[in-house]
Amino acid sequence: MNSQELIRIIVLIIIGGLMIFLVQPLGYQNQWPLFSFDNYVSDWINNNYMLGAFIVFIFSVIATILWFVLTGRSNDVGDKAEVWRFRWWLIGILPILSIFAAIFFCSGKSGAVLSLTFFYLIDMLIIYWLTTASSTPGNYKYLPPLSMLIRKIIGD
Amino acid sequence: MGIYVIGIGGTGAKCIEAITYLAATGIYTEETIKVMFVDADESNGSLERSRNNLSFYEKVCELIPETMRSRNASEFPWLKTKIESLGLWSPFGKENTLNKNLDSFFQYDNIRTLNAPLANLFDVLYTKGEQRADLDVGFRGRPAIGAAIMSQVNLTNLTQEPWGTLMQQIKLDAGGGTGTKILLCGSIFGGTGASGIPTIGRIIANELKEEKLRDKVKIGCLLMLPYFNFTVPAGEDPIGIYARSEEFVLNTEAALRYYASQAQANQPEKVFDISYLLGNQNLSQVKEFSIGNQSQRNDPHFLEIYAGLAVRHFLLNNISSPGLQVGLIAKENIKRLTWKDISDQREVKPLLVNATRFAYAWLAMIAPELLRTQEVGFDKSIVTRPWLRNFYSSGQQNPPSFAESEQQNNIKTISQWCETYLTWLSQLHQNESCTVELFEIKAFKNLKSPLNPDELKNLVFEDVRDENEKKKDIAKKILEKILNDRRIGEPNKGTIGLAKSLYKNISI
Repeated sequence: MNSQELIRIIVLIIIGGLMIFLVQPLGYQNQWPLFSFDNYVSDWINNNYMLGAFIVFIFSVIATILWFVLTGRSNDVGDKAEVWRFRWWLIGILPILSIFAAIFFCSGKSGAVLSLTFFYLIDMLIIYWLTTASSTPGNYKYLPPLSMLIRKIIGD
Repeated sequence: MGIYVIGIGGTGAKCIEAITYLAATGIYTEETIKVMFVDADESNGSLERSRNNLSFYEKVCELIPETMRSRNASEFPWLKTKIESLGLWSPFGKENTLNKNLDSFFQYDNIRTLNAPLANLFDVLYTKGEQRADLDVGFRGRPAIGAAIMSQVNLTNLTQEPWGTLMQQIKLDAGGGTGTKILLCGSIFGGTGASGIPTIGRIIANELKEEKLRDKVKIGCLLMLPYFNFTVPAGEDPIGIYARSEEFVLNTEAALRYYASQAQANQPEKVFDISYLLGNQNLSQVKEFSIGNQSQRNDPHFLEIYAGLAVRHFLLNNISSPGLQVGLIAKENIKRLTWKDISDQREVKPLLVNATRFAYAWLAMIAPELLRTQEVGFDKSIVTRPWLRNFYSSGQQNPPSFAESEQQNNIKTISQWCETYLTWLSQLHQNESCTVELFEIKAFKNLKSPLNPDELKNLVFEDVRDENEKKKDIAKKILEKILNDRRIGEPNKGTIGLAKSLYKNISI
């Protein structure tokens, strides 16, 4: 893994963290468009949202780290590496399940389900998909979906 | 500098074969080596193999553009030295092809009529069998036959090619003031080499002396002492005219006396400025007895590596004359050949190791991936082989398209070179009288089955790398290094760019 890839991983996880723990609660607090569903959200954010956000964040980060650790340790090349595309989806189930769990156990107010699903999904995409698509090193760099396009956009 | 190597006889051809492979590894200079073959047996198997290898090597060398050859040499010693073949010369020339025997060559019937005492002398020197033996198969391991034919060679009257071109180039190089070196190589114990080396050496030296160029040219000889023997099959005529390995030592002893007397510093007719003598105490058994022609195709022998190293010594060192110089090297253990026994080990070993690792890695890691890319298509293949994008594209000009016929031909050429090189190396190691411990040939003994990339780390004997470094010597890491390596000098695209990157990233 080169330094650029490492920096991208850290930056994207931080961005994901800021989104999930700072920007989104702020949106709910200030009733931004898309966030607005109730007038009394302060308690809900503290009691429900933050727990769900924590679950999604942790599982997304775990899935991301798992991907980097497993591909880093693997010695597969060529066609054998193709199997890793399937594994990427398999690992990706982890944060998706965490979204379901967060919605099911922590949504609290039914009016928030739709927006929560949407935002958790965005967070999970930033932390897992964007991080792996832009920063998977070596022979696995083009395995995450759309990684070739992402790499081209960022000039890598 | 003009560098010329003349391979005389079957052993001379085998020496040139070794030089061809070693030149590819980069152990010589960037000067082009011009080689010529001398053999009466034009269909000799060893000669044919060596000539084929040489013409193939000339094709491989074309992979590197001429303008970039010297610029490339330090980072990419592979193919550093070009070899140019001047062709084959037979002492029988192009005429007189019907009756290639001593009888016809010396017009015995005319001599018998015009000069009976001379004919009688001829009868004393050569048996009837020797006089009438068909020399289409060479000089049948008889130096006396070869000497008679070779002594008739007159360079000043020779209009035949490739002598004309060879002498013209030597004179041009010598006249131009650039140092010129000529090395004659062959066996001391057989027919063509034993008779050809002193005769041709003398003819060239005399010709240069007449042109007042002798001082500007260094002439060396590389003499292979007996290093193989064979058993004559039961059905063979016991008094037939063919080489007898039991006579090799006797032939050698007599020839060495001659060379010793010729090499005296005060000898006015001294021909050779330096002599290299190579031999092996334990003779290797030749698999198949042959009088000559295509069936005379002896496997490569480790001694031929020494022939290549002697050439290196000759090219790189200042040969001072007058004076007698004899290169000397011996194995530490009579039954083992290790890296310690290789001359200039510090410079030579890394080059041999890297070229061998390159050939192995290309066949084990790169070629199968390129083949798979052909099958699945470039765009699909790069998903799991991103390193391909550094060198090829799916249709643009830069980098060139993977599907381009030039790129595909280059892939085939490199793969073929790697196979022939590893085969040669493997055969050198298969010696029943001496255990050769340079490379672990188990990994590439059978090139018909896929090579195991994991064996790359175990390829070299006396590998001083620690276990951690060896652990990194795997396909994934090497391909990743290739993927991330953007610092390769031009040409850095296409198949040759890939080869350069591989060479750089497997070098130890």
